[in-house]
Amino acid sequence: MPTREEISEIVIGSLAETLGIERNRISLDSALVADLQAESIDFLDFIFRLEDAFNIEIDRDELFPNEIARDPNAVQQNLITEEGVEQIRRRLSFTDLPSLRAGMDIKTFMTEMLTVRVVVDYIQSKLNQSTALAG
Amino acid sequence: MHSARRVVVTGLGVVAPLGNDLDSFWSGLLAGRSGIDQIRRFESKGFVPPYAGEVKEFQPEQYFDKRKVIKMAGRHTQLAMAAARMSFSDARLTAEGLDAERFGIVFGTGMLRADLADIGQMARMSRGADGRFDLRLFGAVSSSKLFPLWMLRHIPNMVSSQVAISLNAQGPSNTITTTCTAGAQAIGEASRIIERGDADVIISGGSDARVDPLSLVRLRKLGLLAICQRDPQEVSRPFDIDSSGMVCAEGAAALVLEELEHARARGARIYAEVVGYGTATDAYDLVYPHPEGRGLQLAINRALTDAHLSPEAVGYINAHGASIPRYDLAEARALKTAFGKHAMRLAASSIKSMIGHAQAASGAIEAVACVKTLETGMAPPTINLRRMAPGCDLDWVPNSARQLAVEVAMSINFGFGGYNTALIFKRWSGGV
Repeated sequence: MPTREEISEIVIGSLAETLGIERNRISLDSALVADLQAESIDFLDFIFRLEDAFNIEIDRDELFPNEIARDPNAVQQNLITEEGVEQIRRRLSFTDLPSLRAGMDIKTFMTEMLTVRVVVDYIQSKLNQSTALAG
Repeated sequence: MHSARRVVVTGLGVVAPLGNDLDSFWSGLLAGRSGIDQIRRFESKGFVPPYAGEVKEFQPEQYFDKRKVIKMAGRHTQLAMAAARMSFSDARLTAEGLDAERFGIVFGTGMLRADLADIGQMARMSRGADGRFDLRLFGAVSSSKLFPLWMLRHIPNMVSSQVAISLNAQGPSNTITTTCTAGAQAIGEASRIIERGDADVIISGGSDARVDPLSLVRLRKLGLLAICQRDPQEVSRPFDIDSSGMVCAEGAAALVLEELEHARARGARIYAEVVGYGTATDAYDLVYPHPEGRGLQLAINRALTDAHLSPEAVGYINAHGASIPRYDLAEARALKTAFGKHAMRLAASSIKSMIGHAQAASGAIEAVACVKTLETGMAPPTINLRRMAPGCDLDWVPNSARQLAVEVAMSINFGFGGYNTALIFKRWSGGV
């Protein structure tokens, strides 16, 4: 299984290819949408590259909680509810989301808090799962 | 054209085997240089035919604002983007100076090149235990191995779509896919859109990029490609007794068409006026033209009627000149019938002798040459014309460019499927 550094390298490389930008413009703290201007079509490409590179299957909603964003119990008038915070934390349990709190604008969350680090955390947990299953 | 709204050409852009911009393309044509050469893009040694009209050293990056978009753009879209953006700059247009909702895009393009490498790997992985293609395996393999944006490289209308996004053209858009006349028809149809008042500015043109093994094999199987042992530069020889077929080429061209008053209001430089357009169908054969060029005659007559001009008013014709003997003969016959005695006095030349046949782009590339002829008073030659084929005895401006100050020029195209077009341009002289 690749180390965390190796995972980060591959994630950043895939993202650079997807977005047509230099690797050195991307760090673990870069937010995919707010910092790197990723558009919806880019996520298709990015996920495809990650699946290919790590030989895993990625359910887009596991990583980008669009479904929760549309749930009226989780988001009301564009603001994340207590229930929403819980749902997101459960769904994205593979990563820390220290600044996520109720009352936050869902758009802010989706554009600013989904960083490269979240993706790396996700891949690492997926690889751990499959190693555990194989073991 | 008889509408109160007149259409003028205010910008030109071209990427072709002779050059990746208007100036190098035009000076190459006037020098009678051939852009046809040994194919470089793939290993062509032993491949038949090993020559084509390739666009050389093309760098798409400079024509795309976002590099990531290039991977969704097939080569035909990349070439079109380059031509469109060059025409936009040439017309000195700016996004701010345009009403985006009255700015449109119409492009001609053809069957798109297939990336054999993409599909080949999946096909290999889809072989079942008995070695035969297994559709279920293909379903599984393709869902994990096929680039998800692959389809976007293979839809013809992505040309117009990408150009429209890039230049913020929110007006009418269309994609014309009538093979060898697509580029010319795009210009004609775009003129009609402006005439009827649905747009003030349209970038129209054509693009094609089928210099790839599969496309070449397909044309070869139909018997349309020249297969001979000559130097590549001498293979395309329209109207010559030794012509044996067309030479495949790639390229793109774009013309900025603009409503006259719109152009005047912004003080635009005007190259020429689009005064006539005619289109017609042979309704005769899938591959070959009607022997008398029936549809081409009709297209020419319609364009003349549209322009309110007599045949004698036309001083130059940018011929189709595919270098396919049956096509060339049909073209010569159509010209003789449509122009009567005047045919013998007309100068007509085929730039396919120098750049080959860029199919869906050819009509647009040739329209650019036609407009440049009016602007500069110089007609490019038909090179490789040593002895005229029987029945093709017209003045094809053989082998060297000619000074030719004319007021009215026509560009004609016809091809596959029996489509025919004629566009008439008038020199701009300050105009009334």
